[in-house]
Amino acid sequence: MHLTCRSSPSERRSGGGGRHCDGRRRVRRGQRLLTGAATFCFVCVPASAAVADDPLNRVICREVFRPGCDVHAGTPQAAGMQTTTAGPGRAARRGRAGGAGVERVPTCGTPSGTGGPCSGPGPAFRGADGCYYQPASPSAQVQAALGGPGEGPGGWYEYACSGVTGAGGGLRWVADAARAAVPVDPAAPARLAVSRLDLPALAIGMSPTGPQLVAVPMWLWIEAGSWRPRSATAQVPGVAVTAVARPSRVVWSTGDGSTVTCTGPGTVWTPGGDPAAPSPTCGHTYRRSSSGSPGGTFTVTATVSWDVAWAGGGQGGTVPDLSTVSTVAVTVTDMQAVVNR
Amino acid sequence: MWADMVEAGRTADFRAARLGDHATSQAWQLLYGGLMSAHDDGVVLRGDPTFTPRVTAVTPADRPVAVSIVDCMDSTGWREYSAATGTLRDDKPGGKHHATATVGLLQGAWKVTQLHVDGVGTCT
Repeated sequence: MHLTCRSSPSERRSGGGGRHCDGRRRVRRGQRLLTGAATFCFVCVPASAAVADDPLNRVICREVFRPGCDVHAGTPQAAGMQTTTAGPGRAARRGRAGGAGVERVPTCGTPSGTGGPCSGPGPAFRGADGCYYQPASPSAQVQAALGGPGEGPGGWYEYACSGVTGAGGGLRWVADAARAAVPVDPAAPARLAVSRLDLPALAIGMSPTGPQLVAVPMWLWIEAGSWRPRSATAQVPGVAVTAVARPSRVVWSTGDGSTVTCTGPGTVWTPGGDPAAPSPTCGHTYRRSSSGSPGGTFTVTATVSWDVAWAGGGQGGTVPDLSTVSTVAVTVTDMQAVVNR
Repeated sequence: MWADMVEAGRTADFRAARLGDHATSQAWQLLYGGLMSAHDDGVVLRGDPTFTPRVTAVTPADRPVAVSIVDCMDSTGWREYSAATGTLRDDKPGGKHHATATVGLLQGAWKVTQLHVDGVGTCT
């Protein structure tokens, strides 16, 4: 917890000339006069830089407890859409686009450093500022350093904020009246629901099974049982949101430099069909063997795009596609080589 | 985003829905927190700041999803008044503030995601 250096506009206003850092301050909303700089300290700012009626002073980050000023903010790594390495039988999920400014699914950090889902137990609630609030019991010194409790009924809350590019949080006093007036916004539970979608790597089917032959059409499909929607729900006090992901298309990379895009799961080859006929929906015909490739195989990669939509709290929306990746190694043999052997 | 902030600031309405029209995430929190503190202090914001924004980066260049902006905001004409009496809080106006922002393309809409404002006198 960073309680080391903090100032507030009221302190800066109270400074006459020169520097204001006397280790004493009046509690902002309370009436007590605190002494003892050992429990907290201030950022010493020249009084000349503290303009009294400049609104921008209210959005300058001189204190980490101010919303939007937390030291946890601004680290894309903290907002974790988990990404795993693709491999046979494993799923790698990711947004369609990466980089700054792209919506990610966050996890909520807390000031104590413990990451977790964006919800809290019991009386925790979500504020209109996009943050989750959990009751806290800070020490008297901490309360004093934060300006003391507000007037009227209320309480201290540890809060954790989730955002597009990071997570932030802190500790603050929230009046009961302000809490009651906060509307529930489904955007954050929507993100949470999306993050809970457990999208599997879909099973690849191909024909012929096993080694492929040059010039013989290969049929490609996603096993029918796995080509189905997945859903997940997140609930915070006041609203429940369900996210649904539907597989929409598959981009097949066949390992020989070719890419095939299929708008559905593909067609399962049925025994008795013409083995020389290409798939009516999704397939590829190799023109060279895999003998020159590392390991003597081509890696077939199926990247499945999932359309994701959410609904809840009287609202709904979509988020950028998710994708999962399945891979399988295939050996492609030149029939001529087999004949000559 | 700043037009939303200025408009909401006239009544220190930190719950104004329009605050989220062009800001989200940390930038939204910053504006929200700033207006909330003004509300707590019994202050409203009147007048208008002026801007001299400049784009410093567009990423990626061919199909941008993020734009970085640097500004030298002048808050001289945007000041705090007592909500109760309507009088200027003080006779000390603001000045020029160096500011940076990141604007992201989120679900088809451009919004400021990150905002950082420096103290008065940090740009010319």
